[in-house]
Amino acid sequence: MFENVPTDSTGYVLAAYIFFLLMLLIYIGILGAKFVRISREIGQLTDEVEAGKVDAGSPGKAAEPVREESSV
Amino acid sequence: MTPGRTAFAAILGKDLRTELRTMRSLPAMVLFAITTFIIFRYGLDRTTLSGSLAGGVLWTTLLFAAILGINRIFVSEQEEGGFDAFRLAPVDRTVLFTAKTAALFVYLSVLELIVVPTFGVFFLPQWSGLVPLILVLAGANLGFAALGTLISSMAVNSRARDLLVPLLLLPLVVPLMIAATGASAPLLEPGGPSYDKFGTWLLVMGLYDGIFCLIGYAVFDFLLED
Amino acid sequence: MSGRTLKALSIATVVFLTAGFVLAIFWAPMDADQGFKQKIFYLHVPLAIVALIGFVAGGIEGFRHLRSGDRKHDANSYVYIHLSVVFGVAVLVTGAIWAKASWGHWWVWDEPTLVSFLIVFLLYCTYYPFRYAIEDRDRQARYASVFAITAGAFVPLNFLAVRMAETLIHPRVFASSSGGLPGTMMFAFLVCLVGMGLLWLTLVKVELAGKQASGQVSRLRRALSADGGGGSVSGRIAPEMEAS
Repeated sequence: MFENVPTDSTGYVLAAYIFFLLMLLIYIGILGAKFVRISREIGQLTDEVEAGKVDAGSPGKAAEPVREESSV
Repeated sequence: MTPGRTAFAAILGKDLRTELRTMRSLPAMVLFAITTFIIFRYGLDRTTLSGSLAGGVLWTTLLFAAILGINRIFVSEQEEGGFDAFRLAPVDRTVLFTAKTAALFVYLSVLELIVVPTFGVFFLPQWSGLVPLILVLAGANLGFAALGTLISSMAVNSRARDLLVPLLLLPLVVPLMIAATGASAPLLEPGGPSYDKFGTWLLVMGLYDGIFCLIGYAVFDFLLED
Repeated sequence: MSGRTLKALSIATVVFLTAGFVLAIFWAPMDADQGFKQKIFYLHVPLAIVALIGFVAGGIEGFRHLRSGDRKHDANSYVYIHLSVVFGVAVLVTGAIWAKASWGHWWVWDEPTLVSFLIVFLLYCTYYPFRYAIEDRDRQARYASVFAITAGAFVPLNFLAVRMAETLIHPRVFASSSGGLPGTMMFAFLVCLVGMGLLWLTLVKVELAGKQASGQVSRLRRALSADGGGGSVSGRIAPEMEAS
């Protein structure tokens, strides 16, 4: 299956650069996931604020205890 | 005597007296070392060691025995509120660092006083290399003591206390171990000690000890803050 | 955090990195004894240099944090170290690939720079469990700064000791590469180095911006649930950013 993989110098050089590219892409992927999560949370918060405004007259609106997800 | 020196003497004295009375760390350290030697005898399948093999076995064993002691150096302060008492005392906080480092240095020296001759009896065909080895041991002890005190003071206030010391200490002492084994291996040659690069290695150890003693001295204040 | 700086940085990164790699592969001359596989070093060495500088910079930020108490420096310290660890993974893997290509083994103990880097990398890997083990936020930040300073001082010492322990006469690829490098190779190398440095800076900015956003979201959350009295539990190990 791997007959065409260059095992000489070219192959190794390619492997190194491709690995670097891969790491970069994975990193960007993680950033993207983080961004999606933050967007979602902002969406939730916006909803909460707007809901709060709607029944601004009712005091003591019970808020669910908020648990943050573990994140870096 | 300045308050600093009185405090230093007091803390050091208290530590040494307690250790003498309760024998909390030293017996364990010594037993651990001797048992490790026996394991090495069978693991390496040798009854005599020389050169780099001897140096490697000796220093690995001393390193892990030292970690046992380092783990326990602040335990009494942690358990009995010694940290708080010390914070309230009108002394420069770095005195705790210097006193604890000195105490550790003493423990390690006592450990080696017992363990190194045992090593000689177990494995060394002749002992002429052991006298210059004292210099190497002293250099390594100072490095262990300073770094051990620094790390132990942080670890004692954390969750995985017993894990944190080996975790952090081991990579940090690698250069010290490189220098110690580098200096020791020629000393333990079967033909008699050779001083190949001995001075250079001692210099490296001195540099290492100097830098980390300074760093420990400089940052310890911040570690004691509430 | 200015969006314009980030944009400028990213563009500069792309320009320099692409130019650097193109120059390295197509323009720089072939190395006399190593051949084509020497080209790995245009990737591996800049990564390593930038990572090491990053570690030391993390120590400097740790020092600034202790001096000023400003949490911003702790966040910087964390991000610098974190990114340098990530770069470190790349250093070790590309180093292993180069070792395999040069000597047939995925790891060699004879190359002191690689061994030194491994030790430094292992030390900084302990940074994460160390932070996690300390619950109190303030203390965690302080202790982490102490670690960053200690580890930062450790880096040069470690390289010295490992180099000294190296007794075998080994093709000192890095010295011969950067010492006796012909002009064209040096130029390509420098472009790559600048590119890597820019990449690191860009990623640092991105990480810090992300932290700030997360911090603001948390604060909003807390502010909102403060009316209802709900508590929030953070499982984070990394420092939050406070004020923007």
